[in-house]
Amino acid sequence: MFRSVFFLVVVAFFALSAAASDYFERLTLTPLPLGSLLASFDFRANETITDYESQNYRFFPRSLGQALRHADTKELHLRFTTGRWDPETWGARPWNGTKEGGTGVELWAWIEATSEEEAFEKWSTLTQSLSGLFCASLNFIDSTRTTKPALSFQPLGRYGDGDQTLHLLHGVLPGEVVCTENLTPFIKLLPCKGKAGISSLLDGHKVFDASWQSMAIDVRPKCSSGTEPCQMEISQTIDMVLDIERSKRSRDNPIPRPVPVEQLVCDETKPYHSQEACYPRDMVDEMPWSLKEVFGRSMAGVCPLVESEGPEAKSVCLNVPHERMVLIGVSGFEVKSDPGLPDSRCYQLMPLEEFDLELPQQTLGGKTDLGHELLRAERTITGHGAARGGMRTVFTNPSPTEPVKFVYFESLPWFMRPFMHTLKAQITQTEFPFEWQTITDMYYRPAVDRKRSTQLELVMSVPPASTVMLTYDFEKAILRYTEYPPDANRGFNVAPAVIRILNDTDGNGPSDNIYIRTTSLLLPLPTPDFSMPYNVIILTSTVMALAFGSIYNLLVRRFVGADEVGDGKIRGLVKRVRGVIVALKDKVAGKRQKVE
Amino acid sequence: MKPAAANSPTSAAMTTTKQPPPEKPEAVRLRTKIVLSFWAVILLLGFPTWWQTTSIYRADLPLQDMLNWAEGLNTPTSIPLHIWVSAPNLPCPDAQRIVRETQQALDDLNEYPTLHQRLYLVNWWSTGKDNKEEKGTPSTSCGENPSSPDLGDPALRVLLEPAKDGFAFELDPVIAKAVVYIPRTDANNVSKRLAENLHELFKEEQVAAALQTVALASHTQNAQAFLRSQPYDVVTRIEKQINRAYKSSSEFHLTFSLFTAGGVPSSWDVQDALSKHIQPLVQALSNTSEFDITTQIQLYSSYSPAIQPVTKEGMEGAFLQQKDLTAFVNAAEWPLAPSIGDGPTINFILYVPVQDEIPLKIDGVEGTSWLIPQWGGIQITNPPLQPDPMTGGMSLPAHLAGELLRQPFETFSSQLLSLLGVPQANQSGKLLPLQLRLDAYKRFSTLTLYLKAASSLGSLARLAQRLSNIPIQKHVAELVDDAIGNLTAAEHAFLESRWDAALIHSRIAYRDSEKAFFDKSMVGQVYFPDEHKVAVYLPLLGPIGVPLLVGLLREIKRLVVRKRGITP
Repeated sequence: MFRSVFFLVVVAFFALSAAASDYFERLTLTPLPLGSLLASFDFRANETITDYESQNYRFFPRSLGQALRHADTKELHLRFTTGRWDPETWGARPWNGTKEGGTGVELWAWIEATSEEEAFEKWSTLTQSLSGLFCASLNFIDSTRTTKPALSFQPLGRYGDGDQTLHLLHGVLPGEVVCTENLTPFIKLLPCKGKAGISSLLDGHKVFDASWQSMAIDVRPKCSSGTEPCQMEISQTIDMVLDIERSKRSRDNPIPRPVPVEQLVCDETKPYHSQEACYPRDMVDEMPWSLKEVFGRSMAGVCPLVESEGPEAKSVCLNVPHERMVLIGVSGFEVKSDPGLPDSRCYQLMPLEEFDLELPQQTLGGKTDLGHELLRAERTITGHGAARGGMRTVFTNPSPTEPVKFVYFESLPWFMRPFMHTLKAQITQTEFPFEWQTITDMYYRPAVDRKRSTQLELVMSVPPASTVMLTYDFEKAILRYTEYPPDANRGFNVAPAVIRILNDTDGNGPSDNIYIRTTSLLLPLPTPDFSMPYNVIILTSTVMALAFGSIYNLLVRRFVGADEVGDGKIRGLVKRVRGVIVALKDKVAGKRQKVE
Repeated sequence: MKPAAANSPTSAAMTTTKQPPPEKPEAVRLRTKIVLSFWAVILLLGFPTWWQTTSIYRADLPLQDMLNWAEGLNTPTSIPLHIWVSAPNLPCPDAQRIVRETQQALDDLNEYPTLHQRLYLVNWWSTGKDNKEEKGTPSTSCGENPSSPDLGDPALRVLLEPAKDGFAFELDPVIAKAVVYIPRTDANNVSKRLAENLHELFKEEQVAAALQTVALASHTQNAQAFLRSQPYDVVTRIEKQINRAYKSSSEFHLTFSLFTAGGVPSSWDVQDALSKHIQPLVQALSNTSEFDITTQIQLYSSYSPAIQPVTKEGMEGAFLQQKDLTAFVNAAEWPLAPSIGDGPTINFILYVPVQDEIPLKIDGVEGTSWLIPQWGGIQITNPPLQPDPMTGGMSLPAHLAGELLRQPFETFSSQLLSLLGVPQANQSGKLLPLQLRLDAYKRFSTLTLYLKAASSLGSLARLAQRLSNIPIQKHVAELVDDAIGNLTAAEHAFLESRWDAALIHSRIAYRDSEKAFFDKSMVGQVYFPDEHKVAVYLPLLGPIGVPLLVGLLREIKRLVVRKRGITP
């Protein structure tokens, strides 16, 4: 919880001072239990709306700006995510889950258009140009993967005039594999391009070796009520959870080796402990690490575009208790957070000098509070067989006192046909003694085969210390032969559900939202044998030929007595060949007799 | 069967004696009917159904017409260039005589019909002035009315003025206008010299048009003959100019990028520089093409790593080898992705080297800018170093002020003109007035678009003829009809020398013909090989076809035998 408070403080602080500078970057490092490290890279750039409109790009990337202008997109959110955030070990999500997407690629945007059809047309141009820009298959977001959520997302931008008609469109590619080819264009959008500043730490080998990572791009217009001109803000973030032990392996020799005997830390209280037998002791100390070890390189100076003084100039922050020892060189100086606030420290770096920080192994008494999630959600497919299945989502509210109200949004592919009359939300486990209505509102748009996906949005609430199970049945459609992907037997990806937790103190603005995404699912569909069409052709042809042949022969042939059949050509040939064979046999038999 | 076969040698002789009873004639007739009705069903019902269901939709294309356009059979025989002559201060018969004689001299000078100058005596001068000056000058009635529809758009307006001294031909420095001073004495020579001047003025344009015709059309004897008659060096120079330029397009994207090898400078006064140097040009060119301007700043964007600048003793800074200039662009790292939308992108790059390399120059050349044909222009700038307030040392300025951008943007504006193909200085090194050059560019791109549209129609026609199994949708045929209609309209406009209308029609024709040629629906069936069809049909046609064919052959044989049996 403390960390999210810290994030909120940081966000609120930047919201106040954002207009002051045009470029800002910060790396926040937070050690997590069991030797993990959360690294949050945050890059933010502003361009005044006049420069943006006249296409004079300074901090805003030209390629992205052109794509957005071409599709009349006012606000864009793009997410590339791999792995799963483990809330039980790692606590609350960074940025309250607002800067992450479901596994794969997720994209939603507000597009200015006069009609729904026009909005969708612009959406296709947008996905196509973004697909080229980020080397991702975003162009596969067609009408069957596009939804228009009504309750789950709110525009983050402030728009100057209210007479625009904006359309929200949302698309997911749960099967997309996010990799280095997506990171490279992402880094190219940054003004300092991985050459200086915190972006110089980004390396595809390390980012995609992480246990969980999420890259996000958010573009939104920002208009303050004062005299300041409106601005376009692009915010790029990369959050990743690195396994420190794993990251410290050298790149040219990445195979894990057993620890040498003399370096093993043994539990000497075990009765069998001896020279030969060693029971390894749990690692209770904080892991030693340095930037160079974890990221494979040290930081190359400061990006010259950031402020050189003030709170925004500190581009590296470390969320560790004050008693944790941190060693830095001469290339930066440390500022610890004020008492009262959660313990953290930030570093102001010297320009043009390499920066590294080192944390030695250390035993710390207290445990840092990582916060916890307001809601836990688990989504699984139930049932068996190729025809039908069921969906089950389990929501757990861990809080003993507060109920949780949220919007549950899922988009199902059209070949998964849910039966809405089987939709049921029941409280399976509770200590709450009163009646409770779990589903308070529902927005449902059924699928159209090959055209549209099912869209389901539920406003739900879970009473304190309870578990709610949401279930419904569905039917699996049979696809056409050409609609199967090459790896059809792997199953079909079903996009993760998005949960937006509504705060009771609603109306304060979008930053209060907390988002959680479930894991994506794999749906096995009845898969045919793909040589089937040719087999069918052969089989039907054979049956038809058999039937036709016998009927035709019955009609056309002349029937005569068996003894009236004369010698045909073939019969004569057979007779002659037989005669030759008999003659040969006789000859051989005769020779053998002679020899005897 | 078996026992009979086993003792065949002996029993065969016995069985041959037993014959089946002769077939009844109605049975034979019935069998014939059966065989024929089977074949009738196959031929009348089966075959048309198969044909109908498996045929590929091919809309009717006017193939011959399209090929005619591509081969230049439909192109106008002459594309005249109208020149308006006015002589308010000369007696009318004199003016008429000069015009007639000059036209004759022009026709003698040059017979190539494309962009051939044609003089018209038009009293355009008086219409603008007769409110101010005294009315009733004798010349007002001399010549045609400028609003007459036959006159088209003038390529040049010539004002004939009487003069005491010798002949003089003076071009207006801004607009497409010339004043000719005519001595009263030697009238015969005047027409000849006027004709020579006019011919010289438009000769290079004619060469360019002829070159483009040779490149894009197939019937080009006329153009080739004309090119052979011109001096070789002029033709090659103009050819080079054309090759350097982008292909004509109705839309261009201009991207001005500031690439700095280090972290500074990170801002520039680009809006001012653009409005001073680029916007006026774009404004002037706006009736030919649309221009979309974007600018960007990219830090840490060094030139291609393959290049190693050299240092020279006793000289500051670094030097680029001339052979390295073509490899200067760092395509892997510079974000110069083509713009979204139609039309090509022209890149202009202002490069600021790292501080150690300042000043970065090109070895053996005075300037620091160069042009990459059909790509864009590059300019290296070495901003003066400034004392750093923090460290005290000298460093690059963080901001490029307008004064530093003046010279690079002047270079960019001239590079833009030559990248578009606007004619440069002519043979004698004289730069023509901008209006004349822009008009020439407009005519040239009209002609190019027109020829290209015609040639892509021809390619589409050949494609449709060659590949018999590509589908041709109805909208492709509509696009083709539209393109042909616009080409015809453009042709009429050419004949009347109305260049604005011709440009509009050629542009639409080009767009439609390209759309038709690159239509997605046509590629669908191209790669369905014939072996696959055999594999699908054979299992059915083999077992059914053999008995049917055999039955038919037997019937035919029987008929032939019976006929032979009757005839002899």
